[in-house]
Amino acid sequence: MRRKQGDLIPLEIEILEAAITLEKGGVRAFHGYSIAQHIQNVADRRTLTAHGTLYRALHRLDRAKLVESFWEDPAAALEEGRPRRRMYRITALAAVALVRARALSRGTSGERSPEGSLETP
Amino acid sequence: MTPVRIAAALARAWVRLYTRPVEPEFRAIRREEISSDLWEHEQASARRGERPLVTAAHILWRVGIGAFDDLRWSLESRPPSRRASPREGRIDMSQSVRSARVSVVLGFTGAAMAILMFVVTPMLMSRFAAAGVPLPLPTRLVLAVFALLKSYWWVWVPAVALLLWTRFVPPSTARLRHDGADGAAQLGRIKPAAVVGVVVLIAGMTAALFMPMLDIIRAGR
Repeated sequence: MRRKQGDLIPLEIEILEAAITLEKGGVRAFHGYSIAQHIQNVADRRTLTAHGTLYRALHRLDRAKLVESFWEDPAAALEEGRPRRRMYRITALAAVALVRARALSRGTSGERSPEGSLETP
Repeated sequence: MTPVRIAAALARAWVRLYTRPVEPEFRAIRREEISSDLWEHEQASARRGERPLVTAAHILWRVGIGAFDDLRWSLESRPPSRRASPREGRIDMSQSVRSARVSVVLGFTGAAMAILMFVVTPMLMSRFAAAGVPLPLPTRLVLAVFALLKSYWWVWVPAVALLLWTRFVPPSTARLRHDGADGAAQLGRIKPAAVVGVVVLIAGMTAALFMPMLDIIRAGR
């Protein structure tokens, strides 16, 4: 079944929750690999989220304005001798969307799951 | 080249492939973003002291599992002018099916020719030499063709590689358009007669190769 406009899928919720946790820890912006690593650690998975799944979800969140993306300062990448990172930062809308997704999740499953994740629509 | 570098190169090649038809801005972002992700992955794995083969397998796993989402993203991120309408979508799907059929025919032909040339022929030749039977004209013709192909591999190998390149990597401007200019679509218009032709050719070559066996059997009787 196609999901409704504005609904969040479980991975998007995981990304937003991870971003909020990172922000609370003082990390205001994250890049794709760092968020994949964070999700892997939190969910205690053996593998990282697949490239296609992760970056498609980030792209969707970006388009929905739940995160904003920007390139990091090229000088920093040059200094460390690595490719520059595409950074993401959650927006104020993300918190609202997350609350809504959790409420929907409670409505769907009757009670909130530990991760606050949604059932697949 | 280490296994991790090979896996990363394959991942980048896949990214280059599926980002070709998307809007230039998204294409550049995705390519650079995956490059950065691969670099981070490699560095993090090295810091953990992970075995290179495990890291390489993990990278390829991430590519493989996400391939479907990559393709979905690629379709979503095309410029409006190249986004297929529902009708074009159906046409594109039928083209894809035809292209898949062509791939099967090409693959079957290649595999059959390779088996005949490199496995069957040497095996039969040693038998024929041991039996001392004269080779009939069709057998000699097939052997001559195979000998020619083996001697002039440097002519046809690049030609086949070029064909495969145009077959599997059609020009980005022609992708997903039903304008008859697409290389894949051109090849997709394969006629059943061509398939029959390929099967007859391979069957004929096989028969010609096995022809002297009849003489050997007759002599044995």
